[in-house]
Amino acid sequence: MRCSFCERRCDLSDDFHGFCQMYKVEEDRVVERYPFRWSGYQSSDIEMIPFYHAYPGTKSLVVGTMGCNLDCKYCLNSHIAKKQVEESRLYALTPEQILKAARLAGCHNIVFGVNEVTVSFPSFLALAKAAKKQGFAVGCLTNGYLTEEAAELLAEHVLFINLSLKSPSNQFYRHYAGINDVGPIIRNLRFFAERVHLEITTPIVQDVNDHEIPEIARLIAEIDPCIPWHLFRLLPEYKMQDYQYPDIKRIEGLLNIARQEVSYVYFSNFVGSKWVSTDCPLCGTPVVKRVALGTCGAQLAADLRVNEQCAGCGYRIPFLKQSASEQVAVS
Amino acid sequence: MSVAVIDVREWQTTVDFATGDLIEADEHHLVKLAKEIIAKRYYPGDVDNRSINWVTDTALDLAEAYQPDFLFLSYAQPHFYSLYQRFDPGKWEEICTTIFAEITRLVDLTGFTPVVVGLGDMVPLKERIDLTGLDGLGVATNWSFHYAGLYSPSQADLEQLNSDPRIERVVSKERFSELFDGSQEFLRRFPDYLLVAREGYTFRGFASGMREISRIPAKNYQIPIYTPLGNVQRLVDIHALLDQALPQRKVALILIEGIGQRDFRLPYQLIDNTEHWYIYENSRDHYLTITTGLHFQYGQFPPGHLDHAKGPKYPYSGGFTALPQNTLGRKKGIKSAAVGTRNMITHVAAGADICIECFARQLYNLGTIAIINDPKYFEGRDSPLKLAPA
Ligand code: SF4
Repeated sequence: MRCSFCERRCDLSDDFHGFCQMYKVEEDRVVERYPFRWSGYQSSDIEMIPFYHAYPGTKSLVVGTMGCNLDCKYCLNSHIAKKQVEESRLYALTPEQILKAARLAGCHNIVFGVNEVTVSFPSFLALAKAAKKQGFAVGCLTNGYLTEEAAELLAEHVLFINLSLKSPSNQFYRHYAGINDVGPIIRNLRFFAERVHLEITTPIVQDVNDHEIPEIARLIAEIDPCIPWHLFRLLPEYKMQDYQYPDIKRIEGLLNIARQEVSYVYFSNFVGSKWVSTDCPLCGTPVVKRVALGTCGAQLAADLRVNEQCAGCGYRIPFLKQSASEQVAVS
Repeated sequence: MSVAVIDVREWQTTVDFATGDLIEADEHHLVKLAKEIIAKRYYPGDVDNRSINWVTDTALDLAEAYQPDFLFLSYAQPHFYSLYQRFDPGKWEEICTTIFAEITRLVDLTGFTPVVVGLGDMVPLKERIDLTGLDGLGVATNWSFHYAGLYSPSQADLEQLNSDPRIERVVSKERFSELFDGSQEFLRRFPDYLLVAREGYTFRGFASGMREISRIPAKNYQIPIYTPLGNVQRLVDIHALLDQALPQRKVALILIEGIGQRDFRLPYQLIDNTEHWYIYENSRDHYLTITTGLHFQYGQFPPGHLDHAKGPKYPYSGGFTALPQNTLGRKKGIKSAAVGTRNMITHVAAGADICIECFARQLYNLGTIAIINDPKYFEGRDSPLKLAPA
């Protein structure tokens, strides 16, 4: 019997638990080995996840599990994604317990944001359903390697997604991520752009995919030039621990090229980055100021929009829903 | 104003420390100095033995170029090594030997009078007490090991926790404030209940880190201090001891995390490391109590608190939106400098004129940051740092 959550479509017969180690067959159905088991739950500024154009200034309850369906050689989360999955390291938490924590911690939304959402899909969807009922917005991170059926299900349950598009080429995915075909990821990118609020993250590995920045920019622009795009200065770990760090000045030059195609291009994962704030693409007026604190995201410093519009020219910058000051109280 | 220079390897930027806004401040001699030092001193990483030498080398650079009267140093590598790595007695011996050799090197080359505090031994982790099954919310952050916060518990939760042999005590907010008192901010943030684990146990729950840990601080009722400046009885007395010695003597206050009585290699006195039943463990509280002379409940953050609301000020200082003003580094009439491998705690606790620390989070090595604390140094003079944003 095959799993249909991601495009690996693992055959789970003979007690194989899938590439991600997270599924098994029981009574002719693919089920999770560890349903409602999580590797952690905590609150975070939504900008730190990162989502820059969704609910600015709100707190997110971030959950995650273990395992992954890709095998990125530079993985930053290998202590969670690439470790042997052990039940003892996971917390048993019902959706209700997670949502109670979210309320107590003053969170506005729930985000699956540690590892790949497809490897714990049924539990996440159940959490998303319960969260929606209680008025929480729900989002997730994904590497985009879902099947069409799973992508459809995900789009039904979440309002915002950050998809990691590592490269437009099969060659990169083959050498660095352990899959042969970027096609399904680009297919899902197009699909999510139509259905949910979408942001894209591209980890930049020096001399590996930095030359692809203009090509990725063109691809995003063709789908929707207003999709916020986060370039991520990757400090490789796991199997590429001693690899060089990307040269910021070199990337800066490529950012200027990317900006001609895509309106909202960000560059982060290093402290002090000046490329984490939003300027109006029409008149250049600062719209949202953020401070880069390393890691992938940033901290909101000031939301300068007036009635969700640029204070300089009145252009309506696409942001998902309301700002923090206008948010519906959920706690 | 205060300025921060950030170095993320082959790239630097200068920002207003209070707001994070980019500025140009290159003509300020301390900014220039900081830029030079952090450009040549890459931080090797939290568990890397070379980060011990990094502290000394960086401190020697600062001591030579800035000639401070007070030097604050924190060597946190033994703590991170013990916490996250599988314990290897040979490697541990090497760490202890290196630390004390480095302290000797620093003192020999600078002539500072050293006051060295071992913040306490570490012990193997016995078990993590899982708080996720409770009706209430158990908050177990990376900032505390034996302490966790509990919010909105049910009666059944309290009965269960009170009868758990791994838990030493369950203290309500009211009982805590009756015994300890505390600052308004601290008590406002205090959880409904504080949970205290027995030695060897730590909690896991909301906000716990996802990395596996192998050792945690022991219950160090007493910790060792080496000081030629006189006798001290308690943790809070260190501040007064140094306050009196400065500026007549050039003093280096050196904190070593993860090393206590068992591995301390200098002649020492033992000092009381407690406040009522609370035992200090390697953390922000430990540092601040030493450098301010005030017990932890007069600070801003209780263990296990849930309020992580960050104001727009001081984005590089964790949750702090106002920095403690009574630290030794802010003493009037002295020049002060600090170097540390306990990220933002170093500058918060030191409050030095110039402070260089690693910018590492959860073992991710993000670079280094130098903070130039201008208001004190330029007191009564026009600050050259009033510069237009870049
Ligand atoms: S989700 Fe896991 S088990 Fe299912 S196809 Fe993908 S890797 Fe295989």
